[in-house]
Amino acid sequence: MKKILIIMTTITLLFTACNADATSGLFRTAAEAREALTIKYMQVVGRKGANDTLYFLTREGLFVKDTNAKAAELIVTSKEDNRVQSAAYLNDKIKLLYKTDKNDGSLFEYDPVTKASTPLPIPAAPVTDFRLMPNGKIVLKGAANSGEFWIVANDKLGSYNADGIKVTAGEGFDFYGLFTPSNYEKSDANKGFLFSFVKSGSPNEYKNYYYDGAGVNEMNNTLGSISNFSVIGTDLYILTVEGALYHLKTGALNVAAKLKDNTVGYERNAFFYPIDDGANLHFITNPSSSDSMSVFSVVKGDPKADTTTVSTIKNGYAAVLKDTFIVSSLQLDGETFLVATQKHGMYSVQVDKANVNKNDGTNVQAISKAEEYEF
Amino acid sequence: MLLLILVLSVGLSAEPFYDKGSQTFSFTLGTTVPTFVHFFSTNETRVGLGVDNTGMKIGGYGAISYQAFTSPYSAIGGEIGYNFNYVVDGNLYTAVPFFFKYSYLPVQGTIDLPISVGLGFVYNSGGANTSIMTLYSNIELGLTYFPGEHWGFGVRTGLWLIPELNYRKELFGDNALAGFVPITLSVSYRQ
Repeated sequence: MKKILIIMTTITLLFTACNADATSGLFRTAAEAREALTIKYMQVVGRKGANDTLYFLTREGLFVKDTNAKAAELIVTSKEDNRVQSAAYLNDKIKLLYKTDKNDGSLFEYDPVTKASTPLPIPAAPVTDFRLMPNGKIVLKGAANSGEFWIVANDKLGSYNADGIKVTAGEGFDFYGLFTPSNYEKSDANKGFLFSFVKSGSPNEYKNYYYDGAGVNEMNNTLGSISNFSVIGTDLYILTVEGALYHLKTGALNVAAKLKDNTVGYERNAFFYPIDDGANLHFITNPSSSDSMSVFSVVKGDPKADTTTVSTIKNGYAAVLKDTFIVSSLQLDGETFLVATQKHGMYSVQVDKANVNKNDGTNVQAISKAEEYEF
Repeated sequence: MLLLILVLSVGLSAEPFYDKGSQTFSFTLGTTVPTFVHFFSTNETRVGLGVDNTGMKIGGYGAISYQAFTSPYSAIGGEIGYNFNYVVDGNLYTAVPFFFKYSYLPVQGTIDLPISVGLGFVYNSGGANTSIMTLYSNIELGLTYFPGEHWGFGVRTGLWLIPELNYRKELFGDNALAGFVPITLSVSYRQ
């Protein structure tokens, strides 16, 4: 009998240890769950101006919504073999670009005035693929396995060799990820992005580059799989899919200082929203396979590993957003942003800068109900 | 109802069918209805299915059980099963209960009416890395019809009680007691 009890206790402890990563109780998580909405967001593309027109992308297609409109209008419909995959709103031209999977990749320009879409020809061989960035830049891929890429303006596609910036990652390197900061606001202000290439192997080999709007800068290549990044002044903060936070200084991007290891993982292009409270920088994150959010807090101007903290948040804004599967965001002002999700629609969030890493209701000033967002 | 009274009277009028040492094997299949969740820290009880209640939907349960009679009216044994309920957000709650079972059969023969209590453990699992082994208890009432000597078909219902007692301090506020009502069909073999 004693032996049986010991075996049962051991089994119990073994299984009980499985909830070590949970940040909410099992029945609490179920009781607070909400039904997924039918609208599946892919991207908050941009807005014309404050309290003006908003463009966003869902699995149905590209939508426009005016501030006073009750409902959004579908302006480009995703159809089989011509599904909109990504889009960009050009604030200076007041036009949209969008990429579809037609013919394995087609680019169009949409004029909101005429409501007409015009195909933009993608250069022929050796170009084999391309990506459209939210700020309107195009990243072209050269011949297979060549490891050659170009960054080019959307109106210079025909002369990409002369007007684009060539990046030679090396033979065998292919796209791993293209990253736009979560606090992206508009195309004419947010010109930078980060791109990472991977060469399959054991382990995989990565090459990372930062495009600052004017030129391409090589970065540290030992970061591993990048999840997302943020630009704060002249500093870059990088989150990896393993949950590590790194700090890099512009001008010395080959040096990466690890600030913190979170114990949870992240998807590629995960939500990584920076909030500056004056004394500290906070990065709101939404780990994958977690029932809470995490906020990294770094001393502004003096980021160090021993002063960087990570807070687990499941109340306040996190009570609403933690299980929504955030896919995209758009900054409205310094403390207000839109969050588009795959499961629960879109929200507008106004955080409290000083309390953004607190696990209670003080971390948020206002948060809309699903689909009742304001912009 | 008349048929039920008739068969019950047949069962009641009979001599005890089982002897010490008799055995029953049962296979159970049916549904479970998430009934309530009580959170101790806030003294809040959420009753019913779906959003703002238990958050769960009607699910399914399958189990096998074995019992041996220690007297003509009492049997002890065990049961192991698998239960699932979808949560409204699309996640899946699963439970694997395994427990000791005591049954009292005041009516037996052509009709068995077992009254059972169970006590054991259940391995619970949900979305987002949430899984926990907890205690498990239940009470069940059953009605099994044996058209022949060995094989019988029955229905069962009752109440499961699953306490979630988290061992980490930050989760103490989520300690809860959940109740499920199973409604199952069973096939039994006795000898």
